[in-house]
Amino acid sequence: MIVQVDPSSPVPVFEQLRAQIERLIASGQLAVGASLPPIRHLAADLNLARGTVNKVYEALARDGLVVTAGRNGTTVRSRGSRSTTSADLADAADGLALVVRQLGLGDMDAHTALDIALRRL
Amino acid sequence: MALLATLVVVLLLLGAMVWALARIPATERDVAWLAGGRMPTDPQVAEVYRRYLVRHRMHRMVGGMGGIALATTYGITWQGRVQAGVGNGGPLGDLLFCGLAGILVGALSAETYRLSTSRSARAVATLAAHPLLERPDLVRLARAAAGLSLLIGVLVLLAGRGWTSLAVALAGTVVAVVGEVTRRAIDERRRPVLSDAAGTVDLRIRGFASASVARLELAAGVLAAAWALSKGVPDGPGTVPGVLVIVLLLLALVVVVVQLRRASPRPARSFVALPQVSVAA
Repeated sequence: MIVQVDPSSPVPVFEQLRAQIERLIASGQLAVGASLPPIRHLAADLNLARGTVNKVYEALARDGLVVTAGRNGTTVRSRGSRSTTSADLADAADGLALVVRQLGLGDMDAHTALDIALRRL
Repeated sequence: MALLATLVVVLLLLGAMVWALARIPATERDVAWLAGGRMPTDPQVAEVYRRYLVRHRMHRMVGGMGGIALATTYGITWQGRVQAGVGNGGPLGDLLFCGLAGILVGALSAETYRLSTSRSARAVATLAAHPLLERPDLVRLARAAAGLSLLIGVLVLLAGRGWTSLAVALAGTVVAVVGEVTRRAIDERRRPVLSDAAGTVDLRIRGFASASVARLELAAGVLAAAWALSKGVPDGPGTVPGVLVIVLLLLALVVVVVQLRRASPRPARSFVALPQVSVAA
C-alpha cells in the first residue's frame, strides 16, 4: 500500500494523495475498517505539511470513504461508488504510451521502463 | 581550598572527556549488537549502523559533559560545592542530574539530525500501520515518577520545608518533557519503504533509540522524585520513617544508575557477537 507524491508535478500534492488513497480504497487494498496512518506520520513520511494531509483526510471523509474518530484515528468506512480501477489503469497506460511515442522509443523500452518501475515498488 | 577543589574537578572532567572520546568509535562488535547480534554482511548496512552509533555517542557525550560542566560551574560559584545525586543544593549544582539532562538533550539532538532533503523531491510512503515505539511501560512509569515528584514538591513546600523540592520536581519534569519530545521525534522520522534492508535497519535503530530514551526519561523521573522525597525526611534520619526514606532514596539511585547504563549506546560486557552468515554464491 504505497503512495507517492511528486511536488514538481503540475497536479497539486493534495490531489495526488487524495486520488491514490481513493484508488486503494476502491480496489479493496485498503479494506473497510482498515486504519489510515496518523496525519503526523504520513506528513513526515511524505515530507508534506500536516495541513495538507489533514485536508486529504477531510476530503475523503466528506466523500464518505473514511471516518475520523478523534484519538482512534481515521478508518476506511466504505469502498464508495467509484469502480473505475480498470479505467484508471487504462488512463495510466495511455499516458505512458504517449510519452514513449513522443520520445521516439520502441515498445520494448516501454515494457522495460514499466518492469523497472514495478520492481521499485 | 576552593581553588584546589576546582582544579580537581576540572582535571576529573578532562579525564572523563578523554575516556569518553576514546569510546566514541564503533567497533564491529558494537555494530553487531545494534544489528541484533550479528555483523551485517552488507558493508553499506554496517556503515549505517556505525554512523548512527558514532553520532549518538558523540551527541550524548557532548550533552552529558555540557551538563556536568554546568553543574560544576554553578555548584562551585553559587553553592560553594558540587554534589552527585540527592543533596541539599539545587538541581543545577548536581552532577548526576545535569549530566543526565545533558545526555537526554544530546539524544534529542542525535535523533533530530537529518540529512538535508529537497522539498521538491519525490516522496514515497506506506499506508500500512507503523510499529509502536518500544517500552511504553517505562514511559508510563517515568510520567508517574515525574507526577509524584511534583506532588511531593508541593507537599514539602506546604509543610514549610522550603521550595528546593518543588524546584527539583519542576526541573525533573522539564527533563522528562525533553524525553517525550525525543520519542516523538523518533516516532515521526521518515521511514524507508522501497528497500527491505533499509526497513530492517530503520526498525532496529528506532527500537534501540525509543527504548534508550524511555530509560533516560525514567531515570530523570525517578531521580527527581527521590530528590523531592529527600527533602521530606520526617524528624531526622534516625526515625523509622527516616530510615525508610533513606532506603527508598538508595533504591531510587540504583534504579537511576541501572537505567543510565542500559540506555547507553553500547553493548553489555557479556555481549558476544554471533558469527557472520556467509552468503552462498
